[in-house]
Amino acid sequence: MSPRAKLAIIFASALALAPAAFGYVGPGAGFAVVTSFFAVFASLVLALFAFLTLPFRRLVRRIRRRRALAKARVGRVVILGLDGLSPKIVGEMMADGKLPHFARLAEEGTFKPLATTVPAVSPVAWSSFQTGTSPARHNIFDFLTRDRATYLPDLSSARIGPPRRYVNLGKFRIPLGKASLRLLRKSKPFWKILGDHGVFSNVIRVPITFPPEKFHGVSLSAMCVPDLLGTQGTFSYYYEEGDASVSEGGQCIKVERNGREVSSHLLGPDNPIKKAGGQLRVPFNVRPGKRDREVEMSLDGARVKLSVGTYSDWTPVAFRAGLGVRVRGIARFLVKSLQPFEMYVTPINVDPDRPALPISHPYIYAVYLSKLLGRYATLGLAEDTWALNEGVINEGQFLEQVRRHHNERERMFFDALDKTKQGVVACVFDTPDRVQHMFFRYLTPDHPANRGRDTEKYAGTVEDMYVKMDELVGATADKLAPGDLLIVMSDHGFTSFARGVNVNAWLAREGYLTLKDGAAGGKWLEGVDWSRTRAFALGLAGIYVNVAGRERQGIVPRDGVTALKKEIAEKLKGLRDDARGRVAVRDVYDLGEMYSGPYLAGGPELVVGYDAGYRASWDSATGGTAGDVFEDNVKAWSGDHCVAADLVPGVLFTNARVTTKKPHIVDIAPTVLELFGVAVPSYMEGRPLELELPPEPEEAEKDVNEKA
Amino acid sequence: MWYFNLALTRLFDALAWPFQRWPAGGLLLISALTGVAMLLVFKATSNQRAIRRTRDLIRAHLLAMRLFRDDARVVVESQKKVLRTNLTYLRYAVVPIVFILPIVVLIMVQLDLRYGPAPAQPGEAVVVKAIFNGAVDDDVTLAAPPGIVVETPALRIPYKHEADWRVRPAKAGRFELSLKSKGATYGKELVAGEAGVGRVSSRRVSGIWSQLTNPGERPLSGDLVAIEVKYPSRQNKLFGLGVHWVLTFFVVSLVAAFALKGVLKTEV
Repeated sequence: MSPRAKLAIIFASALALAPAAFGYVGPGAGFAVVTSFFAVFASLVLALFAFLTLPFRRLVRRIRRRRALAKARVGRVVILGLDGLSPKIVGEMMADGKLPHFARLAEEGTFKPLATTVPAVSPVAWSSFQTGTSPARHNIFDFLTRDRATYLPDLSSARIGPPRRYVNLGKFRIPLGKASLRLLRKSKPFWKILGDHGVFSNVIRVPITFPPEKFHGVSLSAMCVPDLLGTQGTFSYYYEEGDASVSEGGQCIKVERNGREVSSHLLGPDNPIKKAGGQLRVPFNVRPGKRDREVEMSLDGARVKLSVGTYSDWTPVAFRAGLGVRVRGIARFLVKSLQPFEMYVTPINVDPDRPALPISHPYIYAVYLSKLLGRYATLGLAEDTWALNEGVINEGQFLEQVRRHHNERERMFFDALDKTKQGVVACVFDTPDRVQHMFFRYLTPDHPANRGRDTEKYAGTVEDMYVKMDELVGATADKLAPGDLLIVMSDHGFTSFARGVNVNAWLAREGYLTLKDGAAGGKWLEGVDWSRTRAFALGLAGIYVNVAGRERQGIVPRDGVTALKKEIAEKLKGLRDDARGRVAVRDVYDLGEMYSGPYLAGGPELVVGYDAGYRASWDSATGGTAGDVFEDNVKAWSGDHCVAADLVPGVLFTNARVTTKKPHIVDIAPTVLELFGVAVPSYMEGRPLELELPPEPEEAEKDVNEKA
Repeated sequence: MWYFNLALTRLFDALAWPFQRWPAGGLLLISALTGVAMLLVFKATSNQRAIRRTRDLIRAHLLAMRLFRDDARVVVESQKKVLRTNLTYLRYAVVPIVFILPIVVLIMVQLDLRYGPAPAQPGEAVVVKAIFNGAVDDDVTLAAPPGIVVETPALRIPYKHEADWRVRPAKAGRFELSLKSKGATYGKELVAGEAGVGRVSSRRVSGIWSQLTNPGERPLSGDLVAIEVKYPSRQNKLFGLGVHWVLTFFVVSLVAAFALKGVLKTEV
């Protein structure tokens, strides 16, 4: 018996002998009674409120002519988004019998390639998925867009700005109101239209849903939710010996050692209320624990137990800004080595338990998920591909991150399936995309990234991931009710990224882009002489014309744009990589010819359709202008999809027969609307898929009886 | 046990000493300190992680009732889960309560000594009761010092092994009554007319566990089980309101604990 148990028995005995006059049991029982009472009381009030107001809410909906679900052909539409799932790989593995659940769906329903957008990148494709429109109507052309005044990159989907008004109070500057958040994606997602007709939707981590929009349902934002620093993910690497630096996505901080203990600090956002407050910090100390590989971390007064080589759980971090204001985040810690000290810290995510900015609709949905399932990753691109690219974590550690995030998502998704029995449940899993980006080299033996690297240990990772997705599909299918429609889809497929094409270097070589005299050309179009530059590239595929009157230093007259586009496209299409003896550019798309819509002018004039194995080089994507046109891609990020769209369609699986010959990602939104009997808005470019829904169980039985 | 009681009584004397002119202040201070101390005991003896998780689940189910309020099925299910999780929470609260309860009993005994009974008022009669182990001695007598009048002979209640007297203090002060039975003499303090905070011991007892809850006087030995003075209840004034000290203690200790649970990082 433990000492604590013995003590408890002694106390309990003493208690039993206490006279009845002291029946009052003091604060201990008081805590329990008060807490329990409030929980029960609150639940009763909420239940009563929900039941009492239900008829009124239904009446209001009727008055607004929302005849929820009255015309629906399905009870529920479940959309399982598997970002980047390739129809080619799925097809091959199904043929080998490795994906039984996908195979069953294909046999009983449909498996078809799902045509994707130009360019074939997630923010564009998922925006088209949700709005049923092309980029010219939803305004998302890439991850990045350019500032027409400065030529610097901007996030394409959201604008986060400081509060508009402040009050000065000595050394403090108190914001009046919240930070301004603006979603730059235009058009309406289909769940908002459904909501207007009373159909409830549960939307989890669908890209380009930040900041969250109001609608009849709940949503958790995904891609483009920033970390606490306001970036799309900045990891921290703490080290003791030598010098360390990373080129992208992270920061290196040297620790101080004092005997067995090392100390440093977490870097947070700029102080939001103090003038010249600088970047907020949370100090920490790390020392070896009592057991082997155990590490004790003191983080702002709290003790955190870590183990060398193992990620911590999500750990809350509070940055004190002054006047009682705290900016709260969460991070995972990975001590790689104690002597010399090396530690990786994930980007500091917004704490879903107490979000510093809205990451869900309604605001409490993120809190609800956190309370129910525990804290979870909130960063848009949660898996830290940069840290693996920079060698700060290894492939095993990256996969562990992916596994944990996937499990978090799975539990959210299954809860959504449990809570939403009518309407729409849509959830996107990023696992296929992240794993293929970082492990595609294993599928292409001659990939430049394989040089000097192991090619065996994780050779089965991509295949294992597809098997895992198959299990997810199976588990999802098990949770369907009769009358539910399951759509398993991806936004694009995947291919190898072995060679990078620096489009800016090519534009410079061809005389379309000119550097200032003596300029070497750096990132973000540094050193470009705009008075002599007619076109430039930024982002993963876009080429912009430097149009007079549109760009601040534009020189190409509007009537000369078409001819210039044609000239560049003709030269670039079929561009050969002489070192490999291959064509690198399969097609060049003129967006003006492909798309029409009010936001066309916001996108690039041309999009480069690379051949398989090629993509915009790392330098080109960040506006680099120097160097060779072609280069080997030796980073861990070895697979990609930003190539000619016809090379990387997504997948479409449904448990209903789809007779449409060539389904496109823009068709999904109108299809869902049509299934619920809601008229498809005229601005939508997609068309409802022709579906043969599985019969309801009663109908199926009737058919069988009739045949008999 | 007597020395344990003595030490505890002295400690509480010291705590109450600054509040002789404002007794309610002492009650507030001790209640608040008790709340905080019990919070720390709760933290040390409970499974904080499990309690946090349970409370989170309760909150999640409550939030589910708001988020999915159009779906009666979810509302009913969440309601059930709140009740079920509440039981789990109560289960986790049992262990710390077992630890806290005896400590609180000792504190309350000390508070009762100071805020429970009021001293007898000069000129007003009180009853003194003696309880014996066996039959009441025929010659049992109660003697009082000058200033106290024993108004009645012993009233014997044989089936209760009890003898009662009515006594009337004529002046204020702390007096020692003297009870004689079977050749032995037993003392009992009687407090009359003292204003302000001060210990008023109703019972002098024998037996270890009885001493625990009646710590004001030395334990009895011999034939007597207890001698008790039936004092009137004390009217404690708190900001002009007459409030029973138990209620004050309950509210203040809880408020202090809930107010500081964030600072002390305790889940309750």
